[in-house]
Amino acid sequence: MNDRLRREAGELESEVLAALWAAARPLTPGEVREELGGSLAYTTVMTTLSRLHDKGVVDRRRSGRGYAYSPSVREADLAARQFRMLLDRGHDSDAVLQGFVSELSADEERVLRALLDDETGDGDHQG
Amino acid sequence: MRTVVYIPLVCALALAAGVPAIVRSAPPRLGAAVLVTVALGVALAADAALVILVGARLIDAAPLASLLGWRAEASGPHPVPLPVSVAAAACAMVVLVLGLAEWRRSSAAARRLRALRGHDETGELVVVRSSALLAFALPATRTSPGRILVSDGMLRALDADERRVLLAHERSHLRHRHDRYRRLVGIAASLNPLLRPAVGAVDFLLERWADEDAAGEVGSRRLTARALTRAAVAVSPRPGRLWQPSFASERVSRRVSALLAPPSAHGRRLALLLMVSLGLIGAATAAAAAHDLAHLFDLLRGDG
Repeated sequence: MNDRLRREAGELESEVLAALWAAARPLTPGEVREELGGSLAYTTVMTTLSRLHDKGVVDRRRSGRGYAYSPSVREADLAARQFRMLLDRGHDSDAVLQGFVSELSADEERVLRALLDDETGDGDHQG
Repeated sequence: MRTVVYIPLVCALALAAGVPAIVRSAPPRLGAAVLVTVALGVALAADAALVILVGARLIDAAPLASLLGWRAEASGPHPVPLPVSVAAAACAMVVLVLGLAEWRRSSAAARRLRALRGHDETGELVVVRSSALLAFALPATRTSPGRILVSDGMLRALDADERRVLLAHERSHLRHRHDRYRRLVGIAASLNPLLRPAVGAVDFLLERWADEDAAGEVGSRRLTARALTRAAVAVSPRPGRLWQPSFASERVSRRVSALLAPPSAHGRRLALLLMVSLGLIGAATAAAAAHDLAHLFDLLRGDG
């Protein structure tokens, strides 16, 4: 596998893992594929899921003729413990960590919520 | 001793004053790169100026100079006034103390990060089980690649498309080594506390840069704005919580509006002009300071 393909495979693993965490119940490969927009090949999703399973970050159990996959809580708890240690030992973690978003003021939250309602209302059909 | 030695100090103030304009109108990628470079240049030049101001006085202090075998009249026809030297020495002390504190702070944080990398084989995305809504880019080190740290709460707050935006955003931080920009501007600000405003500005521009990259990758600025909005609304304090950081929050809505209204060509030209002139002034003063510093060393050696 060349570098580009390996990177893309890694990114796909992230997306699949994120989808499993967002779901409230174990998902079959077909359901994962659907959740990710349906454009991926079924075998690609299968390969990605079994790679994640090999790494121990997802669990699987029999469901019909195949498997249903769910994220490994054990791994995430381990990561949470380590992360909490990082945060607990000081408030200076901002030196290296940068959050995706910061908190909003009440006014802003109102404006942005309204924006969100509009967006959800007419869908996101513009490129 | 020429008056040009004072220019870097003025320049640092001018840069600090010009920061908001750069943040407002610059394309994020260009803005971040130029701001970091100019801040470092101005910081070094201003510190060199401090050394010159203090050093010239030391050479003038005849007993000390003769003790060390220097020539007492070495600083020439324009001696630095005593109050200026004293002030410069005080500034140099402050800079030294702040610089050391910043260096210890960032290396302690880096050590803790290394401790967090217990299980590197799990892949790019590390999910943290937490009710808090977290999403961070954990920069690469020499021994391990960068990671995206997200809490399960954050993943549940977003739909599939919005999660792609989140991942693309954090990936952009990792891919373009935004941690290095932050560290460099942090060093500049600790070398010269007048440049403190540049730190927040660079942070903001890096977020904008990652937002633009994410929008490019998912192919929609509106979707990116929606993901940001959804995440920000989710992490925002519910009524009854005491702490509401109003400064930091201003930024999310500015990022959202920037995504919904792409920057005009006029803004780009203005930003370029501003940054090129700041860069030229910075380079010129750095050269002048370097020249004076070299002159000072010559005096110290006794052959000026």
